[in-house]
Amino acid sequence: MKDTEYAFAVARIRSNENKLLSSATVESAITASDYNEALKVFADSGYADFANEDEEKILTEKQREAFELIYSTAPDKKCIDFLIVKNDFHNFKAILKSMVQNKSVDGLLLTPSIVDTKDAVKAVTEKQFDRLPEKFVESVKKAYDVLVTTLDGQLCDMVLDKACLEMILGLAKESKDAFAVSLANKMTALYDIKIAMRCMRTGKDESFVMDSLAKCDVLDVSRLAKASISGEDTFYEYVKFLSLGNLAECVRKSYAAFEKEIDDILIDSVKDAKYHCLGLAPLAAYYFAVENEVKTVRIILSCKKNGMSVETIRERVRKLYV
Amino acid sequence: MFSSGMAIAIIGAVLAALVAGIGSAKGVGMVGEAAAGVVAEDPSKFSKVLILQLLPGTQGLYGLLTTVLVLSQLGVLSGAPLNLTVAQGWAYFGACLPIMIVGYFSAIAQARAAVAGVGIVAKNPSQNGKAITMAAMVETYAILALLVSILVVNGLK
Repeated sequence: MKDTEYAFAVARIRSNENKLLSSATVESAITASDYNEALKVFADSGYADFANEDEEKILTEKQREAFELIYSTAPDKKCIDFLIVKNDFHNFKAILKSMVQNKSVDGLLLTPSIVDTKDAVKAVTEKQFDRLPEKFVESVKKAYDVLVTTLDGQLCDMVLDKACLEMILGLAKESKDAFAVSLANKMTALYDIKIAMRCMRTGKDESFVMDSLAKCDVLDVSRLAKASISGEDTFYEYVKFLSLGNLAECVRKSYAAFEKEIDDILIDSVKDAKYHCLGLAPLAAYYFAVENEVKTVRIILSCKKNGMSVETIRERVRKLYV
Repeated sequence: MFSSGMAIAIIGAVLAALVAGIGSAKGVGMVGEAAAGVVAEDPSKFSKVLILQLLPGTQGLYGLLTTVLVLSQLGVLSGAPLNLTVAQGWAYFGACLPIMIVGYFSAIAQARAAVAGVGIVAKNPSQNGKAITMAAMVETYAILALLVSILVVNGLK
């Protein structure tokens, strides 16, 4: 698809970028004296009036609106599927586990998603996997078989996480957009490192790690798997060799710092889209920006609710796109 | 009955308007799409983006100007066409080439610059003067091409 076909979509995105939170507003919310003061900062900035409605509902709606905007304006809808497919896999995990535990899935499902949440619940609970889009059938069926055979939620997550990363990269490649492919490669690499670190911390063996990792162009999964079973120092050295921001340093810090660094690296990777006046890049970057912004507001409000210090909040807050 | 030279010259003249006009139509359409995106979010920016949308339209006018000039010189407009040799016909065709080719490509290039300008207006409307200036810089090369075409056509009198 020609980048010129994105002229309308990019112009709408540029107009909407003005509504994104500024770093000054975020800083004011972080330094607010308490939770109510932070709510007032967000209300005064025009971001959202949390006083009259449930904050989670408002934040979910913000994300849905951002996706709706890029979906309604994108000339090729399939090109943006790679941005939301992780919500589908989250939903399948939630549905499968709720089904096995005989619990309700209410409030656990994420939108936007490629598969409508009601359809996903129906197909999985009735074990009619063929009703799902073809690309999901094999992985969901495999995850279901693993879960009912072993009752091990971690194994089920492993199957779906790997399938998710492979699908993100596959969908980005299908879009034939260089920015999408590069971003998907980076996402896959970062989540692979996250999986490998989790495996290192829980003492998994090499074959388990290899089975959990999705191949991408940024790193060699077999080297990553080997590094993860060779101890923290070797793992640190390999991550350092990959030169992904300060990720290597974060391996030795907390898991929260590591997760924040992953989000920051991704937002840094999409910042380049500010200089694209046409093409898919500004749309993808905008969705990432809103996703990051919602995460930031959630962190600030939850920390304020729990009376955490300004320094702790600052450590957790993600980088902004604008 | 037209001579072969006249036919070649007329083809050149028509292509000058046609090719430059296609470039302008594509360019104005592209900027129009971007402008519509901004107006959809904030209708008050209409006048600012309209100027940017008009910029790639000038190449089509330059093509038309060259066509009228050539046709007038060939006597086609007055109903008394000249009897041109093939070499003279090719000379007129050559005179039309600068605005034909540069007009097409500069219209597309100017449209891309104008689309980027629309992005500036969307984010910071007070900077629209800079956005217009940057897109207008591309115009220089369309004007130079028009000048060359006019000079050559006049030289063939």
